[in-house]
Amino acid sequence: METRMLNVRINGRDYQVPDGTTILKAAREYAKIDVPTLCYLEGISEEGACAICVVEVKGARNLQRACVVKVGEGMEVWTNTSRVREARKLNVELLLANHPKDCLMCEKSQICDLRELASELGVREVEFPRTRTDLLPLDNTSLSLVRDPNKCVLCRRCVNVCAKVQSVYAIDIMGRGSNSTVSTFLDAGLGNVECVNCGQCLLVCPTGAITERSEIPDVWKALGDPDKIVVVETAPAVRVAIGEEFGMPDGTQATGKMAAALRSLGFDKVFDTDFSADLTIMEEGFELIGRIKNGGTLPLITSCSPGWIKFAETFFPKVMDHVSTCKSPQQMFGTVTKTYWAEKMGIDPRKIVVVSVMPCTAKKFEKERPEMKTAFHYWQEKLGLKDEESFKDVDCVLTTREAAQMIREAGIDFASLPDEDFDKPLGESTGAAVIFGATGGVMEAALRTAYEVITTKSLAKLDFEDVRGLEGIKSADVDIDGMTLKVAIANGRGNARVLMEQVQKGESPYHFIEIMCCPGGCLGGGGQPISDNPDIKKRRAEAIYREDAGKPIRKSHENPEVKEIYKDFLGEPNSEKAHHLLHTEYCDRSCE
Amino acid sequence: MELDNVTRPVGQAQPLSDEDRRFLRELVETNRIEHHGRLSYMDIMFDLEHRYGNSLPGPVLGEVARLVGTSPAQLNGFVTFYTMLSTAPRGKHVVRVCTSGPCHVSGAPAILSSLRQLLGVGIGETTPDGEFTLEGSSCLGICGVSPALMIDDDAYGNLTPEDLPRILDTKRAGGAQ
Repeated sequence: METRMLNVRINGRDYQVPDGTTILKAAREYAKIDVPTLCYLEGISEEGACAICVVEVKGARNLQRACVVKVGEGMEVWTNTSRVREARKLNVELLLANHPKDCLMCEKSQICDLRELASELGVREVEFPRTRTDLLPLDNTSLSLVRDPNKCVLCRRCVNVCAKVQSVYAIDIMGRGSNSTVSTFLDAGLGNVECVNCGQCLLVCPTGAITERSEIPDVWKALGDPDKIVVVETAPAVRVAIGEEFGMPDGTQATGKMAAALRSLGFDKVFDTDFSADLTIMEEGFELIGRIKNGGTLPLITSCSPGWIKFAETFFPKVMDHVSTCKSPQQMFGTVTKTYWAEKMGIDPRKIVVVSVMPCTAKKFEKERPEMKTAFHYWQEKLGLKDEESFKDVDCVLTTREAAQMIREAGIDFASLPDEDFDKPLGESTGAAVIFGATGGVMEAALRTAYEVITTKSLAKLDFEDVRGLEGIKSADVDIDGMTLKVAIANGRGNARVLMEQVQKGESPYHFIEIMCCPGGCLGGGGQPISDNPDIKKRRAEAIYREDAGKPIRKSHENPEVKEIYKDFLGEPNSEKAHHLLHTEYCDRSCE
Repeated sequence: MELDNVTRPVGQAQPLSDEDRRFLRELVETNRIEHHGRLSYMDIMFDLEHRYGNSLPGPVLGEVARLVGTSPAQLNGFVTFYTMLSTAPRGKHVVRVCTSGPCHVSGAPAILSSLRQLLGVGIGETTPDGEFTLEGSSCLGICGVSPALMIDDDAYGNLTPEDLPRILDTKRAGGAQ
């Protein structure tokens, strides 16, 4: 059925818009008039909570919220009357009454929607007194995120993204009226509930109410300690986003500049998580081949995304045997650095500090998991270490934003740095590892290796186009020399839940499933630069696939350094030693 | 593998007894039948308060959220919206003094201060013997007999401070109006 077109007059000019269009959409898309918004997030949070988008509608007694009121036939809308301007300004002032005025020190001040709005609307003073007598306590319980309820404007974007996009429902509005807050079950704090640390709430927060738990001071301290050997690893999705922090165009491949900048910060070695991504493919690929050949539990599900892992442990603990036992590339990297590399270089592993730069806030949680101390256990007997001398495989995790902040603090002119290479041996990687940063990438990398290992033939075309793209759920049948491998990919946990419910019911038709916690995969992670470009994920994904296409080696099993680590140290993929060092176990976090 | 409580959802730390679980399952199922396949959250909450001493313990709410198919945070959001529901422990009897306009002009402030004295607690507090929790309330809907208060499910109107000791004594002895 064809959609009926409605006549609407906006600021004195006539337009035709399809039935069902909101005033906001009509103004922005058809009339090209900007109506300011604060709480609005297209498709995710359309609640009319903030009342900044008010407009005058002829015949209506009150001002109408443009984001929720739909255009009616013959409607006459005015977006720029003095009544409208005064009301918007008043509403911002009301929001500012209890808002802390510490914008000078606020981490989000450069990208704060509330501050921008106040500036745009010309708010110069707030005539309302503060009504909250005491400051509300910070939520410091999470290993990844910090919530400051004092800066919250109750826009509900975080509540909606947590529920509708990620299907976690960890937070909601508590209380009512002026006493409302966004909080968790029993105000227990994000660290004590089913929150999986993905940080999508941080990305959508219009103020500084949600920030990451900063590890910048720890990293500066390590860099300043002459007794430490500080090694940095960078995740695939970081290189295509970090340039945004320095004003470079969206989708800039900043790999070389990033390596140069990290070296300038004083890291002793600049390595690449891509190396351990290749290692992950070897372990996970061989796990898949093993399960197919030996009739093991299928589908096999990827395990790189720590937000996804905590989600699975919380909501699908009964089917954890489907999840690959492989550690994530970050954790494999930490283990390998403190065992293989330490041994090879003759360095005391206790002196090594592994810092990882990640597009992810959940990685901060992952590194603290008590079982992630494999290197310590490896050395414990050899060096006669006591339990209290234990060390983590990965010491610090910086988000892309935090790494950029350190580069700024050091006064490094990022954009004009020369391109430099990663250090060897843990900086060698392939195109297969680079694409880990995009949804579908782990799948594609695994297929490249699995195909060649199973068939012992060389792949004619390396690009598996069917598994690329930003759609929530993708599936494909891949022909491997007569055998059909059924694969599926989900990004964002609302989509993951759909595939997991099939698995739980025993109805999943697939052999192999890739799940990434965040929409778009790691390139859309909660640790990435905050962008107002709606196409940002597409731009970053294009950069990732460009990077892959430009790599001389594009298959994990052909990475010379990966071959060497198996030859010199690990033996075979999935060997006993590899299992001991590179694989892990999961727990049941369900409330049942 | 063991993880510390920091990484576990609330509610798992204090598991419910089998009897509690059975009670909650039956409560939710009965409610579903009574409401023709839908659920009345409010009725469930009132039933829970009757069983668990005028409050809604965390592990109980966590289990009920699971049974009704919502998230613990969402159910908590529902509970905290209503001032008559409480997740904090309360006394055996909850005294709700109406503080709305009509009661205010016909003497509620005197009733309230008299209750404070008699019970020795302020608004939101519970007497040391655990008998009474004093609360202020929005309109009880019985303005015709203002000033008014409710204790548990019983309403009292046309009050003077002199009526209060007798009312409290009756309640303490377990009787109604």
